Formats: sequence, C-alpha cells, structure tokens
Amino acid sequence: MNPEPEMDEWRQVWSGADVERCETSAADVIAAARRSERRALWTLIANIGFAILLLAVSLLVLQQTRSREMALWALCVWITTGIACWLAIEAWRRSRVNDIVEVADYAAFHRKRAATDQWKVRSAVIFLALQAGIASVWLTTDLFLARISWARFAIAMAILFVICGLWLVILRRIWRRSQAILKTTISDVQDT
Amino acid sequence: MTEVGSIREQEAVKAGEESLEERFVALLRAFEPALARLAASYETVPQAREDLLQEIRIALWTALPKFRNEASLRTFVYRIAHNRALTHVWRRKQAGFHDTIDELPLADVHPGPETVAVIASDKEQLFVAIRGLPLPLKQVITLALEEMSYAEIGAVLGITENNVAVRLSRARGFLRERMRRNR
Repeated sequence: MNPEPEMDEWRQVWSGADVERCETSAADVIAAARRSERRALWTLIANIGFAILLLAVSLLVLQQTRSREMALWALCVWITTGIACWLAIEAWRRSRVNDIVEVADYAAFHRKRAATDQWKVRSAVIFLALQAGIASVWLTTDLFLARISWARFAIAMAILFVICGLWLVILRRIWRRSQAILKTTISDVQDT
Repeated sequence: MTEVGSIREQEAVKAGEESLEERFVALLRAFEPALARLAASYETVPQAREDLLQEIRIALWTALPKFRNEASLRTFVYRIAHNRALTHVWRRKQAGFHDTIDELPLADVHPGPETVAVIASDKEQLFVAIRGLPLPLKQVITLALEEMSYAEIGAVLGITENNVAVRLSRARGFLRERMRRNR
C-alpha cells in the first residue's frame, strides 16, 4: 500500500510494540459495563425522584400559605426543577449515544450538542440572574417594610446565594465541557 | 497485518455465529494489542491509558449486539475505539490537559535529560511523535499503521479516500519532522 520505506519501518516498530496493559477478562468488562449502566439508570431515577419530591413539597407549601408571593416562589421552583430534570435526562440519553457511527458523524453530533449546551448555559445564567435579582429586591423591600426580621433576611439571602452558587458551578462545568468539544472539533475542521 | 493478528480477526468474525459473550472474548483476543497501541498513542500516563482502554472495551461490549456485518469487524471496532478516544480527549481538555505538543507550554517542548532517556527507543520515539500529532492526523496514521486500506480508513473516519491520502501525507511529514527533532 505504501511505497515509502519509512512507513513500513514505522509499521514494524508499531506492530512490534507490546504496550503494557492490565490483563482484564471479558467477564470483568461485561460486569463493569453492566455496573456502569445500572449506575447511570439509578442516578437518573434518583434525580427524577428528587424532582418529584421538590414539586410535591412546593405544592404542599403553596396549599398551606396561599399568597401571590408563594405562588411566584412555587413557579420558580417548578421552572428550575423542570430544567434540572431535563438536564438529567439529557445527560443519561447522551451516555447512550451510538458509538458505532463514523468518527466524523460522532464529532458532528457532539459539536451540535455542545453548541446547544452553550445556548442552554447562557439562558440559564440570564434566568438565574433574573431570579436572584427579583428575590433580592423582594426580600430587601420586606426587610425595610419590617415584614421580616434581620435574621430571616440573612438566612433567606444566604440560601439564595448558596442555590445560585451551586447552579453556577454546574453551569460552569457544562460550559467547560462544551468549550472543550467545540475547540477540538473546530480545530479538526480547520486542520483538514 | 501480522499473520497471527489476521487469523485472530478471522476467528472473531467466525465467532459471530456463537453467543454474544463468546464473540466478545474472540473480539478482545483479536484486537486487544491493537487497541492498547491506540490507547498508547493518546495517553502517556499508564493509568489514564488503562482507563481509556477499559472504556473502549466497555463500549465494544455495549455495541456488539448492534454489529450486523454491514461493515467489516475491523471498521466496527476502530470506529468505536476512535469515538471513545475522542470523548477521552474532550474530557482531558475539560480537565485542563493538553493533548498535542504544539499546545504544551514552551518548557515542555524541550524535554529534560530524563525524558530524553525515556524516548530513546524507536518504539517510544514513534509513540511520542504520534501523540504530538493533531487529532485528525493521529487518527489516520494510527489506522494506517494497523495496515488498513484508504477505503477502510475512510469508512472508520467518515471521510473520502482522497481526504485520507491528504491527511496521511501530512501526518507522515509531521511524523518525519518530529522523529528527526527527537533524535
């Protein structure tokens, strides 16, 4: 196939290279694959279960304290829970993506996903900023109108910051992953 | 392809009529050394290399029921292996690792005496040079070194034979240059 002797020389070195590796039996691989599938499924079930619990709790709270403020809070909980649930299902679905497609198709599929992820992150950050802004103004107004004490205000603000912080960490991870995919695949396209 | 490798691959194809687990055992026996070489062309660190190899094995087992003899077994195996390797590269990039010599900080481009001693052998020189290639060239050269034809490489990567030839020629040029630099 290759008239050039250097290629044959490299091929000889390449095929003669006995790369060190751990001897793993097929049974071990099969067991590991099943474990990994089970783990992914249980993680998804746990996420969906937690989402259902959050929805139930918010409904219960809304039923007990019927006010416009609580309705808005419940709406925020439902929206964020919905987004989180969707992300969990997406992550699970992605873990089952077909590996047998051509490498170019595989890269294109992930490139598209990464672009969508970046769009999701941008939207989520805007949504988070809006939600945090509204909540902060609301709480501050309540404090100045003496509807809540300083202690309650501090606790509410702390909870708000923790939730926002956690979301930002998750979003940053998604952003970094999509950046890594886009950078690699874009440089591949340019390279060829 | 070596004679032993070829016989083993034929065994793996024949095993298609047997149970899924028997097919998998035959497949691993036939392709494990080649997959280990592929993993070594992506990873220097033994633990990371072993992780990649294990990911490929698991992906092969998961995908095996979908193998319908539409493509050759080699094409099937190398598609999965290279797709997993791609995911591995993305994950490493996300964690802040660099995967080609061009992207490394300047200090790492000029290896110290210890590194020079390690890459002294032909085998290590070749692997170090391949690891430093840009991804599309690395994919083509590793498949070509496994004695795959242009058509087979095209079928694995989803590119035309002309594109394979262009990439291979560039990869050879890069490799020649890097091997010369390492000597």
